Amino acid sequence: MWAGLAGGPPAWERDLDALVSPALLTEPPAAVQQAILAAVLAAVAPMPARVAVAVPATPAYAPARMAPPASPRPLPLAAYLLVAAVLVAYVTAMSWVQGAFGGGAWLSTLFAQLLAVSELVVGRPAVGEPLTVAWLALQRAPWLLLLPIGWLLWERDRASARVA
Amino acid sequence: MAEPLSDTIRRAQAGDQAAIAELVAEQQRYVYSIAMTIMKDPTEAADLTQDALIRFMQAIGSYRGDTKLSTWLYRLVVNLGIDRLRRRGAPPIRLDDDANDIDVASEQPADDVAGSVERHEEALTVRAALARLPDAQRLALTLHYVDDLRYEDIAEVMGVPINTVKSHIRRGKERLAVLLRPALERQPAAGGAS
Repeated sequence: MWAGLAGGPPAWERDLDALVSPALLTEPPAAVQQAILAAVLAAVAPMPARVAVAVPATPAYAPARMAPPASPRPLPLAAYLLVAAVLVAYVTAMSWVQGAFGGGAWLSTLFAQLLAVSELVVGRPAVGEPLTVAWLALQRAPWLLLLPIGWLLWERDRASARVA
Repeated sequence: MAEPLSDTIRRAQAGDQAAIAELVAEQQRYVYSIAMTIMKDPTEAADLTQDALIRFMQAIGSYRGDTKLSTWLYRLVVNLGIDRLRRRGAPPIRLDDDANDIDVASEQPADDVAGSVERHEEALTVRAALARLPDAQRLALTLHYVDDLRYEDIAEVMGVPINTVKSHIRRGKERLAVLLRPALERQPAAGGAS
């Protein structure tokens, strides 16, 4: 039984192969096959397709620039609300300062200065995106928030100088 | 044998659902057969098959073709199965009423009921005999039979030297021949006198 044939497996081994090979290849039941397929497709569905995106290299001689004012990155709503709250508080405080010290055209002058500074920092502002510009300006120059205090101190010094 | 077309792989890597379904349909019988050998239970084998195919498809984007895709997949199945046997904690997936049936892959007509029953009994007999072999011999024989893998590929899947694979297969076949002697004597000789 165990004697092999020259040039191939012995007869017992060929008989064994013929018996075992088809018996070992088993398929899961149809319902299980469907469940497996559904699970695999569901698991890989949220994965984004791997697409090669050609990113142009930045030239070595390109000067460093600030981000353009119309940034493609969307700002969250909370950021807009935060900036709006800051602006409202700022205008309220300035109105109080104006009422307390009397005033001339200091508010328009301050806004003009703010715009000039923001243009220097983030570039020319995009029309229709003032909150974006304000947010970018504050991100890059948070010291701008100190301007009202500086203005208040300057007005107080000027008033005390007039009295003196 | 089960090696899918490279075009299918590329489309699957790009997230093409049809290509992924095609790969799953091609590979799951082999994966399930190996999983049955490791887990010895249809429910756990189905669970392992699902887990392995999900991980396989999630990682297929990193496949670069430096090894056979089937070898890569089978190694994943074996590693997951061994890990699962160690832990034995994951809940199995639910199966329907005929979930414990083992469908023997065959190209025979579906209305060949007597032949189907006979093959089913043969499959159960072979599975029972295989279950009595040591783990390494059982796994080596399964990889050898279900996808006709080369010794080199089996060695890669199992992570052992090729001579060890040859030894496992030789000893496993000798042991199986003894265990299956009644079935072999009933069977018409495939290779002449036995």
